[in-house]
Amino acid sequence: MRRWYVIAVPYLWLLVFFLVPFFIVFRISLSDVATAMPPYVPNFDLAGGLAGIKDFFSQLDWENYIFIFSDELYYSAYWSSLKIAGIATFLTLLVAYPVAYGMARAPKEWQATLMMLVILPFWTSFLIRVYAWIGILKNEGLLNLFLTSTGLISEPLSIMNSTTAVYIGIVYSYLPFMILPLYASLEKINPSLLEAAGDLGCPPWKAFWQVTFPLSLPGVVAGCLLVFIPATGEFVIPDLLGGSDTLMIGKTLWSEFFNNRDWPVASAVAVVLLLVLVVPIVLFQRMQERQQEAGR
Amino acid sequence: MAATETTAAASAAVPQHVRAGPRSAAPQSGFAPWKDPSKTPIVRFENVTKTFGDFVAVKDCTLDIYEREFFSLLGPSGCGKTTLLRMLAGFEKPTSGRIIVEGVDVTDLAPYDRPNINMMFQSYALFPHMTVERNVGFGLRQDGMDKADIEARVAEAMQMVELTKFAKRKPNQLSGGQQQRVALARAIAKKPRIMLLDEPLGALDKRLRNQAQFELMRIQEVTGTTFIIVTHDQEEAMTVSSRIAVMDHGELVQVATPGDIYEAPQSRYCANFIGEVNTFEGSVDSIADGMADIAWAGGKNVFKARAPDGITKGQQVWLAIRPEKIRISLDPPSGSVNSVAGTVNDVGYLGSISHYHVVVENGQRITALRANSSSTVERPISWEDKAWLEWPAEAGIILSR
Repeated sequence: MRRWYVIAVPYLWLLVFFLVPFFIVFRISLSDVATAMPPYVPNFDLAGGLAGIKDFFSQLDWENYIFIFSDELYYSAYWSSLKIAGIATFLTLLVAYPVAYGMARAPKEWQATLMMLVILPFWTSFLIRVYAWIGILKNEGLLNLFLTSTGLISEPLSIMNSTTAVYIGIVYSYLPFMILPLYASLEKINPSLLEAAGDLGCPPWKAFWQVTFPLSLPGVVAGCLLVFIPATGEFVIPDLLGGSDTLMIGKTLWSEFFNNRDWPVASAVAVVLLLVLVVPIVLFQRMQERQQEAGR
Repeated sequence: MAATETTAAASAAVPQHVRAGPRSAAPQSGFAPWKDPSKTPIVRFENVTKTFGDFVAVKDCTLDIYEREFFSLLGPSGCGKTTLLRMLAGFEKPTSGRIIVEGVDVTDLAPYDRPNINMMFQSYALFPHMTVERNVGFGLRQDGMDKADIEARVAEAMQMVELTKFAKRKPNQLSGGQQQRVALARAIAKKPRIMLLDEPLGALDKRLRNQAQFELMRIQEVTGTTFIIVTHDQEEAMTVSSRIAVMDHGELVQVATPGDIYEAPQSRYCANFIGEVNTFEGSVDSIADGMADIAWAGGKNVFKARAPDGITKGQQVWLAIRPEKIRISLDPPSGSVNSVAGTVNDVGYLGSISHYHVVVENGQRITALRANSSSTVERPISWEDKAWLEWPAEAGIILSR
């Protein structure tokens, strides 16, 4: 009985903060747009009795889904989001791996401090940190100022308002989510494994690919999913740093809600996004379970 | 002295026979290349020192190890034995001195550039993401060997350690003893000339350890490899070794065969570390005809023992006697050279033998062993009995440090 209570808490949490909001969004996605408050019909009316409920359900349809699947814009926004998130995830991995490796190889007494430094940016608002990048990346920003004053370039680089700026923003913002799982799996690798590889005739650069990298794969996969999943639906970074040609589903979603005030279509976009991301999320869960079973 | 010469002469002839095939018997059977000046050692440490900051891990070690030896580095933890081994493997660079392997100075070579040396790690260091088979073949794949050749060599190595049926398992699906054998097979598969083993049996329980010791000896004999083993277990070192180097605080204290270290330790440290020993502190009273009289407990007793070179009258020395060489009796001895009286404080019955702890006149506890060769003893020695301990002059060893 006590066991049940313990399990009930997280499930209740999921129910209240995930399933209920999801069903509200799902229900809106099946409605029609209306110039009203709330801006969609039908509305649920208990006064109508059983007939009213029947009437309510008969008005729900899949129209919005058919619409977004027939419109090229949504398709390319999804595809472009996945592509940007994928490339950004790979870039994050490239930056994070050496950092995590260095942390795992650092003297034990330093590791807690280094970990602290990785987490430190979380103490400042995410929004403000992304804003700060505008100051760095814009034409008369810090980066261009530095590059022109040192004479490396004569014309300022126009990074701001481009997909490159979005990559920089994503890599910067999600770096800790990549570093932490990588560090966790690299730190567990017994250094004597590398000595053994060397002893058996394997030079260090080959030992990295034959021993270190395969053993860090759980961290690589976890980190990639932790970055890829939220980056796909990212709205703030493409909105602040991206240009008009940066197509991401988060931005599309936002403009459907607030520019078009078409809540039903926006909800349908959100539901489809969730379905797209379910695959990597399930993958991530599976892997975590496998690791827990392996007890490592 | 005459005895040593005969052994030296014999050993000069024996190695030819040894070279022809696997060694047939224990190292005592005349295998003694270290006594043969015409032999060149396979491994030579030349004045090797290693410091970590202020800490001196290995201090000016000079040591020769010969082909086909089963050589043990023995000492308590922190005595520098593992550092010495790791320097030979190439994981640590000596602060000063040279290491020569088969005539080549390897001091500055990286581990992967020392193909004739392989190591078995204390933690086994098995690759957790590879099967047993892949682990054993790892070293061979680095050499770019043919696939078929690798398979044959892996199969051979796994058969040697009886692991064939576990080929497809991952290390975490094996018991400690099986993992130990994978580690051994992985190093053996490369057919090194020199095998280094860092506390190879340290993680095994006692019964398994005894079994594994003989396993190691068998493999060493069959492959004809030179084994260098690091251990803190003196019994293990005694069992497997042709020679033992006893280390203390980074220095080699004594390098000799197990028998020599037991029977003729050069210091109290060695005497204590290998087996049990009783020591009487005293001073040299007189020296005559190669025998010395040691005055003990302010001259209450005088013990006779063979005088080693270099001791002088009045010098402080220690007389070391192994427990099994002391005879215990309830009657005062008649005509024995060395004897001391005391009270039995403790009796430990171990079945085949019994330990007797006797407190002698100055309050020191002396241990004597007696084999229980007959089941009925007419007068058993018991607690609080007054007893006499006696030993012949040749049983005691005079140690000056």
